Amino acid sequence: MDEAQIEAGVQRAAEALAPDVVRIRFSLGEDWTGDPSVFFRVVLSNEASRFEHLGKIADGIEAKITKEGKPEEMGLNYYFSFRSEAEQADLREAAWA
Amino acid sequence: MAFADDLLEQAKHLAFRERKRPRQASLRRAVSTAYYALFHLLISESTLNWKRPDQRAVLARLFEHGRMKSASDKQRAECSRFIDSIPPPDPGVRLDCMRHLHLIADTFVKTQQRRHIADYDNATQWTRTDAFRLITNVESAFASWQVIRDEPAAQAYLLSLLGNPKGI
Repeated sequence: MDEAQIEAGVQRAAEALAPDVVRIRFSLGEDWTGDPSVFFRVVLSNEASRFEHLGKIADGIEAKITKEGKPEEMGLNYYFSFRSEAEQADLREAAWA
Repeated sequence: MAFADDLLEQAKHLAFRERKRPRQASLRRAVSTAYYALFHLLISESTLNWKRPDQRAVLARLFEHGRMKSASDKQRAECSRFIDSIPPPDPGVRLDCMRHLHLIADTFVKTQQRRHIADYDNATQWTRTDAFRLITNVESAFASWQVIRDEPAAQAYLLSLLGNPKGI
């Protein structure tokens, strides 16, 4: 698998998805069944994470990241986690910074 | 209301149980419950095909998380191949069905992974945004299922959830 290719795709997606997307981080590993996987962590603007918008916005974000990062072509399962800027400010997790 | 619908409603209730600062226990149970809503929806729809109602609960116990994930992985890939084929497939019932089926299988795989983390990984911090997103995914899968539940491809997917007959 080409981590640099995913990184480049994620950067392109993050630029295209601003300002709804504040940043995207990812890590590689295995899912619970041992399949190789990429785990995307997406920090959303507070506005984009409002519940009335979230479903549609997150659908678009997932589609864009998948298109740019191409995890499926690399034989990777891919998973997304989302949080708002305010939630990350509260939790201050390094993996999301 | 069916059990699966009740679970989905309960997942939403848990995600919004605390007004201000959601407890990790509420969010983790919300995520797990949303997964189980989809898990039980698919199993109950599968067992409806069994002629004897009194045996359906026993049949339901034959479904396993891992096998259902493998079947959903396979279904998702098959749907992707069809949707992205060149030349593009003609618009119509089959294409719509494959899109809905892709959403359902994809949601099953992704939600199952998140449920595993929610149930067993104490290091992960959940947020309401994340839990709510997962619940909206499951809601979309429920809606898609209602559209395609009588389609042959949807019924074949249900059967595949029991596992590969060759045991591979």
